[in-house]
Parts: sequence; C-alpha cells; structure tokens
Amino acid sequence: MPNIYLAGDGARILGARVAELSGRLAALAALRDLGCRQDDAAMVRLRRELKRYQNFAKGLAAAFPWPAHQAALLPDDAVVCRCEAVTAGELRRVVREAGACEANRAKAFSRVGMGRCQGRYCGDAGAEIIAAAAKVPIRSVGRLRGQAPVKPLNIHVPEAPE
Amino acid sequence: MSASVIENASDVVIVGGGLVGTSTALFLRRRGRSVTLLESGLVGQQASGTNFGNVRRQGRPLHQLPLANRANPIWREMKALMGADVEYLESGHVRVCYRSSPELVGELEAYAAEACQAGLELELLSGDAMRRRFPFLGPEVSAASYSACDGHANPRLAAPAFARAAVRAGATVCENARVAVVEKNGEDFRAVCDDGRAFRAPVLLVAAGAWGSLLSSQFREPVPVVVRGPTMSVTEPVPYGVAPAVGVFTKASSESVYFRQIPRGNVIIGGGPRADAHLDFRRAKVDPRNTLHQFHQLGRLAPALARLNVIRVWSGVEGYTPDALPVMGPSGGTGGLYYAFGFSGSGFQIAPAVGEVMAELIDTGTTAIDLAPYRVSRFGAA
Repeated sequence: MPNIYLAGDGARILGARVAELSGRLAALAALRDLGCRQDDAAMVRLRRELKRYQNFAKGLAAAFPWPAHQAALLPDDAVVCRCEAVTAGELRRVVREAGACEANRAKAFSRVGMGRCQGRYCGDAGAEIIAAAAKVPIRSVGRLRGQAPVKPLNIHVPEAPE
Repeated sequence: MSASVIENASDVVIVGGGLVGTSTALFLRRRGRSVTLLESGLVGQQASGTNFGNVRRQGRPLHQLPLANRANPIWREMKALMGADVEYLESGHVRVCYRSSPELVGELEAYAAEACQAGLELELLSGDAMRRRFPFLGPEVSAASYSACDGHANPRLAAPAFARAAVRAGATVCENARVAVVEKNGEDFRAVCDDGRAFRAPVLLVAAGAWGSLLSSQFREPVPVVVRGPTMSVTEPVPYGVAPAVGVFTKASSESVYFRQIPRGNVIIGGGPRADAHLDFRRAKVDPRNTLHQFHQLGRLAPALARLNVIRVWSGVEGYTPDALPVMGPSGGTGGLYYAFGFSGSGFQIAPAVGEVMAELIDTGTTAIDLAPYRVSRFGAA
C-alpha cells in the first residue's frame, strides 16, 4: 500500500521504546518517498535496532507464555474478579449448574467482570476458566461486551441537558 | 416418512423465553402438560433480564392487584420452587411525590384506600415522620407511600432459574431457536425456525415480549407495540443503607426515576426517557443524554446518591402497548392460541403469576383472574 506508514503499538505491540523507533523509521520513509533528502544509514540503524527488540519480544513470549493451562488448575477459592470478589469456584459453578459457557452469560450469572474495572483485570483469566470448565475452545467463550462508562463516572452533573 | 413424524410434537409450544414463557413452561409441567419452549437467543436476555428488578405491587392499576398479589407468594417461595436464589428481598417499596405537584398527595391517599380493599396494605407518610423513616429523600419530596411487602430481585437470574426448573420438571427448552413462521394446520400449530426446525402442538402461547406482534400478526391480530429500551445504571458498591426500592410518582414522564440498593452495596437506577431498540438486531441502545437526565432526576429524589460513581449502564428490548397493559389471554379468532406479551416495562413482578394463570387457562380453559383488560381485541383486530 503506497504512502501508508505504520508505527507504534497500533501496528504491533512491542512497547514504548519500539513505538518511538518505528515512528522515526516511518517518518524517514515518508520523507524519502516525498523526495526529501535523508539519512539512509539512519534507516538501516533503526531497522537493525527494531530487529533486536523483536527478537527480545519473541524470547520474552517464549519464556513467559500466557498460562492458559494454569487457569484450569486454579483452586476454587482463588479470587478471579477482585472488584466483585468472584472466585474460580463460583465461575465454575455457573458453568456447571447454569450452563454459562460464554463470557457475558457467566458475567450475568456470577458478576465476574461487573465491577469497577469492568473486566479489564479479570476478563482474560475468567475466559480461560470458563473455557476449561465448559471444555470448549477459548474462542467460543468470547469476550466481555464493553459497557459505558469506560471508567467510573460521577453522578453529579451540573446541568441536565435539554 | 411423513413430515409430521420428524417434527417435534408436544401439548404446548411456547414462543419466547422470558420470565412469562419460562414460568408458564414450569407451571404447565406441574399440570402434566408436555411443553416445548422456543427462545430466539438465550432465556431471559431481553426485557426479563435487563429490567430494574422491581418486585412492586403498589402503583399498578387497581384491577391488576389480584394478579400482582398472586405473584407475591411465588416470589417468597422462589428459592424452594427454583432450587436457586434469585436474590429476592422483601425489603419494601417507597413511592414519593414532589412539592411541585401537591395534587398527587390526594391521589396517593385515594390509591392507598382502594389498594387496601384489594389486599395491599400501604402506609402514608409525610413531614418529620417521613424524614425520620427515609432520611435519604430530598427536600423536594413532600409525601411517601410505603408498601412493606414489596421488594426487589435480580432480573439476570430470575428467568434462567425458571427455565432450569422447567427443564428439571421435564420441559424442552430450545435456545437460539428463532421462530420465523407460525401457522395452524388442521388441529395443530406449527412453529418453524429460520434454521428449518419445526415444532408442532395443539396449543401455542406467544410470550415473545416486544416481538409478540410479529407472531400475533400472522393470525391477523396485530398489536401496536412500540419497541424501546429502558435507561439503566448501576453505581459502585457503598455501605448498605437503603433497604426499600424507591420511585417517584409523577405525571411528567421526564421526572420518573427509581433506585434500589442491593446488600452488596451497589445502587441500581432506572427511569426517565427510553432509547431506540431494534427487534432485528435484538439490541437496545443506551442514549448518554438519557443517562445524564437520569442522574439529574436522581439528585432531586435522593441528593446524597449524586456523590456516587456509576460504573455501568445498560438497556434491553422492551415492548410497550398504547395503554401500557399487556396482551394476555386467548386469541380472539384462533382456537388453541394464547397470548402473553407486551408487558410495557412493568411485567417483572407479575410475571410468575402470569405463568401460573396462563398454565391454568391453557390446562382448564378458565382462570379466576379477570383477563378482560388484557384482551387482544381491544386493539380492534380480527
């Protein structure tokens, strides 16, 4: 795709340092494409440095994989949803007794992800526990629907809108 | 093999898995009727699951109190009946009016006198007695009517609990079964889903809420249902301090607001203008302007609550009839066809009794409850 440049975590999540480097690279590439003189050696250096970070990210992901299997092993008294104090056992109960094999159904029945953080902290872990308890793939558990307000909102508003 | 052999047959097919459909299924099973319930999504997902959760008799039309009274013992025995806790709390209901509408005090008094005749005891309070009893009420509130034996419950749990109890009692509940066509062939009704599944029974109950008229129209009995979504909000949890559900009695719909606190601390808020809702997408929008309006009205009713933070808003698909009464009873033109839909945002408390009455009506052909106000023919069809 000509004249389109990608930079930052929107392109690929690799952290703040890489976001900055990829921004510089994108800017240099845009300048070059616009016919401006710029430093080719700088682009080579940036690419080399990006590669280093990408390798580091790969290593990090291999060393600390998302512990999907651990969700299944959590004891029943482990608190999954801190806002609403929902335990792994309660989540498993609504899967077993109420057939809640989907994230939003489990939320409706158990309050998992219903509190102040709206599931930002527990959403992924909760989904793994549901998937393991229901013996369904994580994909079919889905994800919690976003509901306004994204962050807690004070009720006191100065004026009612017309 | 003929088509009728492979079709799923039962005594009654119920279309709609809200509180009305699921409770009718349970009570029909208790009368020994075989039941198949067809739900387009998941049971209790729309109006039944997203409403405010008011288990409130006071304020209902007086002619509806016998039905509402019949629901009261069912709510009380819900745990034993369902084998599940639907968080029903008989903690009272307060209905208040504002100083700006002094004529409403007389209406509260007249209603209390007549409700008492119909078996609903209400206590009227004003002045210091009201402030001592309900210190959270704002200075604009001039009088209150207290119903000790009303309360509230968790709507997300109620209909699914009824559905599970119905299944345990032998009913067949099919979720994700979206009925496209209903027709009567000879003695039997046939409900055909958009995935081709067909269900057959000599009795059909349309309990499809806001979608009800799509089905009743197929029997030439359209009902002018207006589809809207309520404005609902919930706050972060704070120490439990308000036991009863509280609502404003007003003739100005823009002033309507109500709230209840649950023992875990959250305050649930409803009322005020409703937003667009869509039958085809099965979704209702929350209009943020309505939410802000609701906040403002809540500040009048209970000023201290305006210091709290709202953590979540929601809505659901509700069906409103022109007179805000449901369609409930037999079809005007087709034998074996029954309706119970269009509960107009006030079906939650009565729904278990509606289930019991519809099961009685289908099983015996009659019921002690007067269904005249709910006749489908009042909309001039058939």
